[in-house]
Amino acid sequence: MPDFLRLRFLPLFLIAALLVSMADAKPRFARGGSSESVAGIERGFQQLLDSVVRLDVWETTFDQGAKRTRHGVGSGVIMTDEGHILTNAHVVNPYAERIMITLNNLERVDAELIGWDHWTDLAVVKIDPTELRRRGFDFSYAEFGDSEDLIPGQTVYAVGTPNGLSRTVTRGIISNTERFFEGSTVGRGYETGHFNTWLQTDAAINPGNSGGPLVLPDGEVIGINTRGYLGAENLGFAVPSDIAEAVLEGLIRNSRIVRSYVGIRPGPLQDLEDFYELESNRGMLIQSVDPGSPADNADLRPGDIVLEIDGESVDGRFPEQLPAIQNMIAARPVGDTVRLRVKRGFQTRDVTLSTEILESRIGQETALEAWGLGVQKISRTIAREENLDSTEGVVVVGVQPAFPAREAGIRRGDIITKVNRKPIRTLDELEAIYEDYVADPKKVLMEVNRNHQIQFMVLKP
Amino acid sequence: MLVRTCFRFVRLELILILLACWSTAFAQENYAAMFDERVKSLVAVEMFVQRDIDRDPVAAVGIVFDDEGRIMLLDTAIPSWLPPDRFKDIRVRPLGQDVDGYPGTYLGQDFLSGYHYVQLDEGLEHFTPITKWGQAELKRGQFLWGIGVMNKPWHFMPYYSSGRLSAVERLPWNIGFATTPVSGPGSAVFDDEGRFAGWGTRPGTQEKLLILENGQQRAIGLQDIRDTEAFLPAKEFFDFTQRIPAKPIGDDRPWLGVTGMQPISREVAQFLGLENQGAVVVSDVIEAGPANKAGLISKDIIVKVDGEPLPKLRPDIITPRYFETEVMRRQIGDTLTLGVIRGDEEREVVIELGKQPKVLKEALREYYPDLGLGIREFLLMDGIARRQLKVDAGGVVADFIKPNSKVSAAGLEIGDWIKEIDGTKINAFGQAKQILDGVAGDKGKAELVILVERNNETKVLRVKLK
Repeated sequence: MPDFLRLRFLPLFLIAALLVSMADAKPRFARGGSSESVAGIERGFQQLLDSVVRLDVWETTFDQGAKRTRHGVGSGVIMTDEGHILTNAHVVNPYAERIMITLNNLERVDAELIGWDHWTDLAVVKIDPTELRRRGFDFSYAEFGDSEDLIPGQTVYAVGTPNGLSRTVTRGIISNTERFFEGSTVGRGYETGHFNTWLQTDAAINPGNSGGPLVLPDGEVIGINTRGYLGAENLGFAVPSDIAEAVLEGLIRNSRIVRSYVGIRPGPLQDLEDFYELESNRGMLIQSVDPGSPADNADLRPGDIVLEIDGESVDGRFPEQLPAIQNMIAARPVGDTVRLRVKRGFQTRDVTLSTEILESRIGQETALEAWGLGVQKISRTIAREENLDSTEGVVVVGVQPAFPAREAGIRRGDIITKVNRKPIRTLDELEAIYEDYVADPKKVLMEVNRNHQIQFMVLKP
Repeated sequence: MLVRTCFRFVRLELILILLACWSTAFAQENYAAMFDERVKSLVAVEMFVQRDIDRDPVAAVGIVFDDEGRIMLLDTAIPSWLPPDRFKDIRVRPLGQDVDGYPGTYLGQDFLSGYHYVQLDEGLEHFTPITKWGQAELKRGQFLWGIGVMNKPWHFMPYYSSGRLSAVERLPWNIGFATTPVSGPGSAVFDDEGRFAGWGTRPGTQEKLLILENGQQRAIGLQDIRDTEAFLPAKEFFDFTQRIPAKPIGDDRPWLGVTGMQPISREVAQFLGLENQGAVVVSDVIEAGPANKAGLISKDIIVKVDGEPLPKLRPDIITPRYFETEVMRRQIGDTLTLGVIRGDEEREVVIELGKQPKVLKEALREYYPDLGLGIREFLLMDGIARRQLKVDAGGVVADFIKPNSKVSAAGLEIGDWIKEIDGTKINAFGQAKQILDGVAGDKGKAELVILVERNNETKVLRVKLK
């Protein structure tokens, strides 16, 4: 199986998207327990509680070349008076068929997806205020705090629907303000975490908390709870509100976040300063350069040190510092010019790059059910990783036993480059041929690249 | 019972009746005698294979095939990716006896079949060449018997097996199959008169259904380790005994310069208008290789070799093997005319066969104990794996990483393509060796920076030397 098909979860992570089924979660009731005084709970906090919602999401998944619907539960927080709800990208994505919101008053309404950004694991859905008012419901919305100002030890609360238990509040402190995780993936293998660090908290975060807010006692949202460790206790992580606020704005404005890409993957310089004869606290190591990227075309190489980006010096000694540096480039408009001062050996030179659009390695996916064939568009990243000559073709992500694709010999991981001798450049082109087949089933000749071996296969009705 | 009856008749001098008994009694009576004689044509060859830091013991059964005491072993008997000087302490042992055996010398490997040859250096008088037993004609349904061989703790004890001939199939050269296991891999099969019928090869896979306790069923393939029902017929066996290389490292191999030859199925052949013949698709051609120079290109479909249509062989995968064999049977410098379908037309491509670039066993290697790093010359096969479809991509690959060594701590992995060491670009093995020799001699050096390519991504790795 080619490497790119494996979902690359970090070993210890439970990405909280594993929305645990509610069936087994039975509450145990304590008798005569004491409750904390409500006097300490501020008004803002009550408003926050009124803004937190539960999301029930039915999404299309592709299982061995067939379409299936999966149901998951997550959390979200209403952030505007227009009904925009901030949640996680691993709770709701563009494959969602239905999004149902349960408000804090237990009323249920449907929502639509406004946009998502898997790079920061955030998504925005919207409920319709007019419709709500027509039905006589009201809702509240929360406000952002400033995640920059947080200090470890500060008290915070997490609000959400852990394991399906709606309106659960847990309490803890900020354990760390800039936790770094090397690039990992969410959901179907979408990259995440290249451009942000996380807030770490010991407030209990469980599957289903995903997308819910991490708040200060006054109810200000300082993070969106995103992930927790599997098999560990009290290690929860939230995307800081400064990032979430920017992404929310961007998604409301454009329905997507467009980022710039130059093809550099950074590495920490830690312990390497002597080798590269650098003054301390200066420079970012280029760990790898994507072939064919702007950086590659500008002859940047792994081992080069970036000293300045557009005249601003960078300090990438520690891993935690890297997302912010990456964001310096990613946040620019696509096609913008970036000037890097780069050190190689004893020489320093200036390199000017023009940025390209950042794309996910995961291409658009669909299932051609009459063939029993699940395919995904080949992204630039996959083409590069697999050493393909171009992004033409689709990669097979699933085949149904006893269906024509499987019978013809097509396997998961195969790359279909041509169908009936026509190159497949987009998913639409393949779907058009597929529609013709469905209307009038005839033999179909497929040219398949399996580990760079060319094979021909015939799909028979 | 029959034995005693016959002897009594002999005593009574009833010659006629004795002759009547002969045909049945001889055949059955003498399997024991035939077995004892024919076991002397078989040997167990033992050696150890020297790896970078450890040794692997190897034991295989082979046949003494001529009066000079030469022995043929199966392709899988010895690792063929290591140079012959790694094969140490070769001992040739008679079967079933607790003896030291006799020294042997490795003669090399045939690049066509992969079979290995070993020369018996002493003790020739204890063995009988297989040629002594004559050669059997194969006929479907005929009785076959052979010699199975136990493993080393049993002192390679030989035992009797028998069956009947089921089929002979071209894969791409003939392989015989018996109804039941008739010998062991590397051992011999005979007919009812004791003539040599074939050489036990790797067994076929038996398709079985695994039924679990909960009623679930799973299709599985099982393969015997010690017994085999498959064998190379005697005629083909003797053909291959003629292919001993001139030197242990092996002879120069003819080369077409293509990679990823794939068969096409019946449906696809029909789609392309090819009936009742085989065809192979060329996945890629190697830059500046013979095929490339002659104008063969990726996705060409080869349908003829020197005017002859490719035969239709089963399973599909045998057709490309047949084609490769056709190339390998020719000489370097020979021309090969291929009938090729490109797009919708058929054309001819005339290729002059070149010499195959180095293979694994020929690669230069070096091990640095202090670093825990074994390096190996970058070969064409490494290039193909990394989509560098040319012969002189250059450089070295990490061939061995000692666990918990300095390079393993730095994150170097087996198969990493080493592109730079300490800022020097590596284009050739000698260059890497020179730098690493220098590192090994420099006790004051604290760090080594290695740039590697892995999964088409480049990484900077730091090796702490102190």
